[in-house]
Amino acid sequence: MSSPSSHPLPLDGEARAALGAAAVNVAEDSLFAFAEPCSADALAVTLDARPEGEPWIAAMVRFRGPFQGDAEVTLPKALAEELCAAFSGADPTELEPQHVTDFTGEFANMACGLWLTRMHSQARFDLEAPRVHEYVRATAAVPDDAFGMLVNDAPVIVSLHRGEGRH
Amino acid sequence: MHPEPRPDAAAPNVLIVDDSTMMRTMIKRVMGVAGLPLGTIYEAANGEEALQQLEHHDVRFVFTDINMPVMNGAELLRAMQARPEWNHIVRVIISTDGSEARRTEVAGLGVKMYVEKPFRPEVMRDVLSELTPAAAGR
Repeated sequence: MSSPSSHPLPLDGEARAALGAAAVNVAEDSLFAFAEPCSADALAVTLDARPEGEPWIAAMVRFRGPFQGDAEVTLPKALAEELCAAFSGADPTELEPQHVTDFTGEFANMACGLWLTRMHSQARFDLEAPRVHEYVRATAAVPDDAFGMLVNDAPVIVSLHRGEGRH
Repeated sequence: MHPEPRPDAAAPNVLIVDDSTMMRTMIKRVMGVAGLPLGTIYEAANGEEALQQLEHHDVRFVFTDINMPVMNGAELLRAMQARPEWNHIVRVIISTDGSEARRTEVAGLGVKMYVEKPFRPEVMRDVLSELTPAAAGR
């Protein structure tokens, strides 16, 4: 295990954009999806158009190295199911809930790992197993600290947090 | 979930080690569509399970993740190094961690190739193409 962080996790817009760019690459390269970054305004419009009470799924990956924190990817569960089927080659009707949970965690894991490798190619980070949970998104508001992207025209929110005390 | 690749009895067996079931499924799928002769593809969710599989099966290629619970990929490779009878097994890393520090860490553990996630399916085909002739010549 690497030593505890000696530098603060960069939480600026550039770092979030870099994490978002990594998530876009993951979606395009491994999930066989159309992915593109979108502005906060465009994300808000897309979120506003989602069905009320729609289930969402979030996956958070904690990383430790020269700095530590949590990278989180949240997306509508329906999109997670669609991407999971594309990723695994499974018939969507045969997917089990644990498959979608596992896939969403791996999506976040790949995005986080790619981002860290790009940010600090010389440094070693250890990634914990993803923590995944489902929830009903109660608001169309876009968090100030989020990076928005569209995957197959559906919204995906990527965010970074300092890790201490979040779990 | 999808048709299993039909194993070729004369072809090398493969062990995929990753704590993500869906990642193992994806790797298995792209190996299947690569069109190269492969035997049975075994799976393990961590290094400890991988060692058990190696005890019971004749495996030629091990594709392993690094960050895994119970026993990670580097620990698995160290355990394999302690078993001379497994020296012939070709070891490939498939990991989100492409850092120089990690590559250096595993460089001395008999790793033949290092594949970074995410990867396109054709990358796996290229890796298998490079590995399969070498294995067939043994």
